[in-house]
Amino acid sequence: MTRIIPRLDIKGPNLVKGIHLEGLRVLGRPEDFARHYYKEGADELLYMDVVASLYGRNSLLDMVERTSREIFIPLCVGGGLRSLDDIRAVLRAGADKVALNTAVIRRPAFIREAAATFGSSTVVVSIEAMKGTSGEYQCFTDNGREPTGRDALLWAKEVAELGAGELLVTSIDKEGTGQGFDVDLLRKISSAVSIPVVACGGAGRPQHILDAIRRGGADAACMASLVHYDAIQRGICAERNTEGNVDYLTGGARFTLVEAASIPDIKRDLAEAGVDVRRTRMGIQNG
Amino acid sequence: MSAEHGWGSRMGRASVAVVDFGMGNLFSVMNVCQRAGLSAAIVSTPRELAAADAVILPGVGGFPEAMRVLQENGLVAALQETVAQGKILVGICLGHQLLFDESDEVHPTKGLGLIPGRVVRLPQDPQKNTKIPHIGWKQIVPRRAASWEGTLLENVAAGQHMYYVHSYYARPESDTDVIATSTYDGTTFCAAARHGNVHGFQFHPERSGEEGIALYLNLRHAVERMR
Repeated sequence: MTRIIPRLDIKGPNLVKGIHLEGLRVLGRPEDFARHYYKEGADELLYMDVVASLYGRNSLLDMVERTSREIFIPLCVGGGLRSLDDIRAVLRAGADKVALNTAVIRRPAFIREAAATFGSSTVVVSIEAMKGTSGEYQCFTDNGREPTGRDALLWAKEVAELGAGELLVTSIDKEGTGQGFDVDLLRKISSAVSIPVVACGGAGRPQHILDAIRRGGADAACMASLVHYDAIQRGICAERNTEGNVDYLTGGARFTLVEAASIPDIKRDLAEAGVDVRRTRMGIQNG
Repeated sequence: MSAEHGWGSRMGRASVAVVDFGMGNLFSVMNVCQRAGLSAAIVSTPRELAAADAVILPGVGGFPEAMRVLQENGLVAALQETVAQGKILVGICLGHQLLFDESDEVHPTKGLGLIPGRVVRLPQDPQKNTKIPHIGWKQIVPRRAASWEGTLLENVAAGQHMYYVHSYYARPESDTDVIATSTYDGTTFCAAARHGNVHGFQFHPERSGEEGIALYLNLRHAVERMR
């Protein structure tokens, strides 16, 4: 069964989205979006801490705690988790799994340690890859800023061997473009490992998710702008005094990069194409 | 939430002990118990366990390690005693697997022996590139002629999706101990088991949205009826 997983990039108390050449745009409060997605039938949630500093950590933990009190689907949290203690804190706050990138690229053995301590299924390794000139993919850390020189396909295989439960695969080239996932990257990785692969980065319309699954072999898909802008249009960011350009966000301006879609929209399209998805009563009513 | 002896009856509500043996998603279980009106406390010693009306054994991680920790803390005997006293014991995910006689995980390891049966690995067909662990939502259906009335799945609609994350599954020796099944990549496996007052769920009801919460509500009603 294909899982649909909204990804929420979190900075302090805000849900944000990286906009090319603009930096981070504040969209609203993560809790509001999370609650909405839960009701609409999201299969899991992914919270990525984009600041990932010691200062920001308490705010993130509070948010995880609040989320797990009212939202009863799996929650994965990532962003700057460096040690077993960091992981433990996030799990104690209510998360079910953690996404690791920088910490494990620096020290691959950390995957084994985390898996041994918390269980393999708790450890998701996040691979951020950029396509090079000869068609190979290189891994990056720090939200696509730091090249590592590691080949993404080889790294994916190594990560699976070391005991990770899942792979989160993000195409840096595609992320935020709304032009679709990197199906090639997904296909290469998903056929090389026997742990689940979650596609991340690039969804601009439901068809892209279908491509990631059918052509990319992904077991699940994450999306951000695609669903966030739909949620905004449905009035989810209720507060008028949040940072950011609220008029722009709610003023019906077309977001040209994505054709905003709700989770029920996505699942309906997938179901019509014969993909096995979970559709909740609420989701079908709203879709 | 105190776990002193007798706290359950003093609180006047159905009380459940959630066993902490260092491996498991305690906090999600606690959150859902709270949501379902179940007074729940995290316990880690036999003495604390003895005071509760019912016990939940959660678990995420490896079978041999879990049994080792339970044994070390005197919890194997305490859990068997809980069941012998007629109290309800609910095992979730790894906790469900621990209820059985033995598991193949890592090396053959004895379990709690509370439900006859063995725990085996989900088959991995290399041709199909079956992904293990099995992670995701699957429909649960009643075993052939069985009804869910009188079980913790009462009022849950057949075919509801529940959330799974596992690489192993239990095979109860007796068909009548299988309450529900799910199918993953061609393998139909036991989703829910019951043997007397011992209940096991391979899926995570506390991560399965509103339908999963219904299971905890049923647990609360079951415990209230017993008091």
